[in-house]
Amino acid sequence: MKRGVSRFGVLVGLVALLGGCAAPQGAHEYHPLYPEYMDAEDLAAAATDIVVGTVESAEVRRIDISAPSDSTDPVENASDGAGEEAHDASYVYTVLQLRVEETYKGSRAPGEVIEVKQLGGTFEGEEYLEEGATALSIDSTYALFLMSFDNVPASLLNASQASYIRDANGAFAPVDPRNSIGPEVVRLLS
Amino acid sequence: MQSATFNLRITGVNPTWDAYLKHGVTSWNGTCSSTMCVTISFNSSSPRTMTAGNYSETWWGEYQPGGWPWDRTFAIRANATSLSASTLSTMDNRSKMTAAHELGHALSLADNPSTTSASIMKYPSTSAGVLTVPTTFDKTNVKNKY
Repeated sequence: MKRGVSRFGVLVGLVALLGGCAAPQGAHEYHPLYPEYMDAEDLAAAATDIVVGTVESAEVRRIDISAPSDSTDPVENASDGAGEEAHDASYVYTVLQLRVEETYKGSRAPGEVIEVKQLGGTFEGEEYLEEGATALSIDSTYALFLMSFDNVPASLLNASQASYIRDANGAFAPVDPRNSIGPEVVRLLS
Repeated sequence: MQSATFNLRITGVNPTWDAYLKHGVTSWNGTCSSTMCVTISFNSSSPRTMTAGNYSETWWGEYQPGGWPWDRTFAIRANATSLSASTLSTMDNRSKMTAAHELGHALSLADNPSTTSASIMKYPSTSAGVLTVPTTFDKTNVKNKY
């Protein structure tokens, strides 16, 4: 009997423990793998657009980033010949509306509002986070190194090296303090 | 924590990409300590998935954990578009690296470890080339976690 009570106690404890975490804990996590750039020249070469602009607003959306390829090269077109329907690739993004002030590369015109997406945000009551990334802020001004796409908003080249915030004196600083090429890029922006 | 023994399914890719993704599995399998061995197998009904596709993003690969901490599920994607666009090393090596890196997350490893040692979990850099298999440092980290 004593042994039975003990088992019951363990069972109650386990149920209580499970009750405290009845669903997977915390936010949904994204862990993207980006290439890092050796220097400012590498970074600039990889960008389709380099702009300075101010974030005027932001909204969270779920976006399907699938962009089926027409290539017949099996390396470039991963699903070609796979015999299955392409999978939905929807992610939760915070989409920033950025008013362009200056363009260093690309065809964005000063005054134009462009959209830039960052993984994560709160969507339908659930939180999504990009591991290791810093969210850009409304009303702040940034220099951004971007990759543009036909079907969805542009993306930062990576989470650490592609964004620089401008202060009230017009000086830029890396958004991510771990940015290994930050000082070099800041010198060029200045 | 996710066990070092689990199954997964590779889905929606052609044979070329199937081989890249399987490379990630074989690169970790057989990592053994005195108490465990990494054993990743294939099961067509597994909730853990690896795929590759063409995506409008700058990342090479992406790992999303799900499920319970002690029975972790995950979805791994490799991005053929961004991998094709990069000139860092060869496409073959970039793709293999991505598969091995993302499975490192499934084995409880974090991104960009703070070390001077070579690691498959560091972001690939134009200054350092691309690893295609986990290093001794990576395997030691996995052994220490289980």
